[in-house]
Amino acid sequence: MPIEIDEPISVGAEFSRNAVRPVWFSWNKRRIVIREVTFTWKTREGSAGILHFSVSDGQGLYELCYNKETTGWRIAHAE
Amino acid sequence: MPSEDCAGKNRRTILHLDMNAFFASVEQRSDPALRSRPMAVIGSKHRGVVLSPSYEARACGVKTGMTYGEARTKCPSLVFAIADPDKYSHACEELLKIWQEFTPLVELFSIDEAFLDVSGCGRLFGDPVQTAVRIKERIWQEQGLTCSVGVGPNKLLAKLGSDMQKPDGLVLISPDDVADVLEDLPVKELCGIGPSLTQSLATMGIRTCGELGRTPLAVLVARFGVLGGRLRDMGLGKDDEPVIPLDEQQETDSKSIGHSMTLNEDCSEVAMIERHILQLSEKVARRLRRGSYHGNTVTLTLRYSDFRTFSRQRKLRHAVNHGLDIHAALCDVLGEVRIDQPVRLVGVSVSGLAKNMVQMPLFNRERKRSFAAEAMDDINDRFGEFTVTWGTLLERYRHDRVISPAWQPGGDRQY
Repeated sequence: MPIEIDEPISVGAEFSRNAVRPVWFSWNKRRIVIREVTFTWKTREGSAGILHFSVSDGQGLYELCYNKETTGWRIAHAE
Repeated sequence: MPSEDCAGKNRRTILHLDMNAFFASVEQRSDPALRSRPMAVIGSKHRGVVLSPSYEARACGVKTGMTYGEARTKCPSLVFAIADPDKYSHACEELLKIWQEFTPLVELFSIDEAFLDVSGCGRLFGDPVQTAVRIKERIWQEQGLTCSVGVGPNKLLAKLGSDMQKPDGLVLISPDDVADVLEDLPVKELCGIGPSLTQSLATMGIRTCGELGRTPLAVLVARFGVLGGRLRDMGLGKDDEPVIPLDEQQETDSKSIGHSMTLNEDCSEVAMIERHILQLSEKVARRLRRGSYHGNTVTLTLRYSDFRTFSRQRKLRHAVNHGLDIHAALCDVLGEVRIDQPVRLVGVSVSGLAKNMVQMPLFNRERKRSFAAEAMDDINDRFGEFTVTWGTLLERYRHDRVISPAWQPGGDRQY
């Protein structure tokens, strides 16, 4: 079962045309390289669009969120 | 437009697409560790009812509706994932984009089922079976999901076809085959004939669609009223219901607006139930105001821990769309109810709706309250639901992992 986290994090991401793809992120003093973006989906928080990325480093699964309005990243879940 | 066959008769071609184990398949796609193993999507950590078992779990006997414990007994290696409606909504939107590339006439039947009217698409995509194959391929390539497709001359038969072969099926019921397919088919297999109707028909000696279609119309009308004619048509495989595309579905005015929530823990405390009612009243009121509705009838629904469910309704002197008005009326209703068991579900709805019934508040107090509601709506639209709310709701119940009744592709309905 995933653990709820909801913390701001630093993310290295590729922005190309209309797509965003996280490549690595720093969390718990570790730099985690993303091997696979397994699923993406969108939600809204008020007027802000949020992009969700389910990502795997080959060992664990994490959910990263990108707020299109604030351009901030958060980690929502880890397992 | 319906296509014309060589005899010059107008014939429709309808596809019904049913996504296989949709929630479970999305979770398996999202989490590589869940792929190819028995897993099930459950509603929440606290109320572990299976919503969608994967096909690997179904092979072990796990079924929708089983409790956490029952499912584990059937399949000790079963893995659970908590439902994430946002993922499923998004996946549905992506599917809708694919379907709408084949035809603009797409009717969403539920989050994982749709009817497509592909009459007249033959020159673009081939015959109906070829069209269905192309859609299935696109869904697999782009979404990694499988579906069962029924192809028929109407919605009733297309739906029947998709139910006949699962998972990943494709069944064509052509107009010439209808009588043969229906002759010995139990009536309960038809969409719209549930257990109660099946029982009623059985008492009349009608068990198969063939028998239903041969029953004189007068006999069915005498027993079921206007529904009798519809039942006879169903027995004959007739259905004129059009495929209603999404934009037309959205234009239909609502008859009622409501929300309910299953609580994490059963609750007997009246003050707590009143707080849940306030939270639900606020959500309902927000949707009423977004749709420019007022309603004059409020309904409270409670479900006890033993699943006994009842509703109490109250007609108001004035139509309302403010959360506090709905809450106050329902607290009165609650005061008249003897709560003899812990409550597991609370529901609030408003009916008797009138659209654009705007009357400027006459008195200062009313005006201020109306302006305050407008200001709260603006802030919550901008920053998210319950950003500004009543102090009582700071301790509100947080259970956002449900699919909103207002859900539709592209975001919730405006009301």
